[in-house]
Amino acid sequence: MKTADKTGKTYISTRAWIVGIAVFFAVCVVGTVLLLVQKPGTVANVYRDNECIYSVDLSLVTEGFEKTFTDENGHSNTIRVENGRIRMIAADCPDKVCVDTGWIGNGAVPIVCLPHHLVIRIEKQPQNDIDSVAR
Amino acid sequence: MKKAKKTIKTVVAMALAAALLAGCGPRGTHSEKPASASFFAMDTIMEISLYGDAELLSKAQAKVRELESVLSATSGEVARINKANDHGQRENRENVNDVNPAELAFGLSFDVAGAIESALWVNEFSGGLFDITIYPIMQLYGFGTDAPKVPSDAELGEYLKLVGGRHLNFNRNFDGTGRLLFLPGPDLIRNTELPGIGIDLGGIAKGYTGERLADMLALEGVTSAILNLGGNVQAIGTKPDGSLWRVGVADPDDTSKQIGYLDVKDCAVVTSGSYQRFFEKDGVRYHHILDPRTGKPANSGLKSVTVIHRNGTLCDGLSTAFFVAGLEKTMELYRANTHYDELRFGQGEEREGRGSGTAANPEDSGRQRFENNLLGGGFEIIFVLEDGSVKVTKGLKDIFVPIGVKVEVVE
Repeated sequence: MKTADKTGKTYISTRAWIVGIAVFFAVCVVGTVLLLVQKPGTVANVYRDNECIYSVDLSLVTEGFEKTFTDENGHSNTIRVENGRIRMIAADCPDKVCVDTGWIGNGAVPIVCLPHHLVIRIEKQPQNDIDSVAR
Repeated sequence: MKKAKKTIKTVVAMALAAALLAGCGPRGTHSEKPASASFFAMDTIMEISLYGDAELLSKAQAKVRELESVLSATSGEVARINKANDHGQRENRENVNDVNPAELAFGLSFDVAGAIESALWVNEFSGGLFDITIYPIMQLYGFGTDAPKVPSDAELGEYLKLVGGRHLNFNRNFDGTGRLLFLPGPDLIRNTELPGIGIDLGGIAKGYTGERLADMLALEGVTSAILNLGGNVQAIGTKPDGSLWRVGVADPDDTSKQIGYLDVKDCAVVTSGSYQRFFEKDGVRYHHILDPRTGKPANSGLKSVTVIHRNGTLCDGLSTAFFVAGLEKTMELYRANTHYDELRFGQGEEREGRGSGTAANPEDSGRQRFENNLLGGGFEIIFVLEDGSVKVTKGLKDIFVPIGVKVEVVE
């Protein structure tokens, strides 16, 4: 900010207030928009050994995209993210159970790649408020 | 200058306040959220959610690791026993006399002895359709290894000589430890083509782990928790508000969906299905639940069978046994072991005594019958048949809520 001479003092102060209030409202508006757009709990998290390595809000995805995760041993898993859903499309694990799981869009069942210790979980209450699934 | 700094501070403070206000996203704190952990163990994923001290989660995880290390057929105590027995028998064949197979017995820790005791109970209950001595044949197929293979009928015929409860002599001591003696008999000892007898607790290890965790948490004062150990659900108490746990049952054709759900407390819900672990060879699917009579993947007309029982270990063993047995044989066992109308436990007192929130509602007779059967040591079953139809035992009539499928009550 400009240093103040005698006349400028009040000017700067007022301008700062205007900027301040504008920032306040801007953040409020952005926050509100985010709150409204983001439907509760459509976030997908990718975990490796219980450590979250990637998060995406599925409700905000407009154009589908792919992403590959590689661990320190060079093993890779590729996910595809679309609006409201996520799936594993490729993996170099031996059993491909994660790929076979297909799309998930609610939190009842995670996608699990056992050999690579990778889990994709949707942080949302599953349908019918199911607490746990016998499988 | 001073004032400018101050105004900057004011701006920053206001912006922070706004950010804080806006930051309260929809995933904000719920006061009634359980402490949860998930981790990999026993070749599967385990999830623990409990209401109470979050530090119990790491304690529970340590317990699982401990059980994993003793129960696994490939490492730890059971693996050592299998190897030592095989080795002992081979030594003898080569006329090395330092091991006498006639007295080659193994001391068992509390947990291995407990799992074996339950496994032998299920073996007897099911008429041998669940058998831990299937170990050598499981090894022959190599489930879970990089190079699974399909044994020939001749090979299976030979290896089946190693399978059967008659090959085990088991004793449990007063302190919970045990002793196991393999009984190869003179024929198997002389047979140099075959490996030693061995045990595989894979069909019961997860259930046993769930039960031990439930015991441990209950001792720590937890009255509300739900465990999912690779698909084995173990419910401890009810939710904190007294409502029941809602447990879904996976659709065998698409495990991301459910065929239905049921509300339970203090019991285990375990599914065995041909979809859970398998390999494909020449277009044929070989799943991991072997029929101890043939050594081949069980082919009993079922896609999956889900058992509800108070004891997690037996629940796990029973679901495997029932998958091998098929619908008809299982229903025979069911009819002989249900306790609907026996009020062994004085209803009102027992319910109050247990301190659970679901007081007996006189109109809720279906619920009462279901709970009575479980309290009496009975079980309930959900079958998914090969043709996709779903059948449930009569105790589940008003309890199992189907999702998009037609359910038939089987008598």
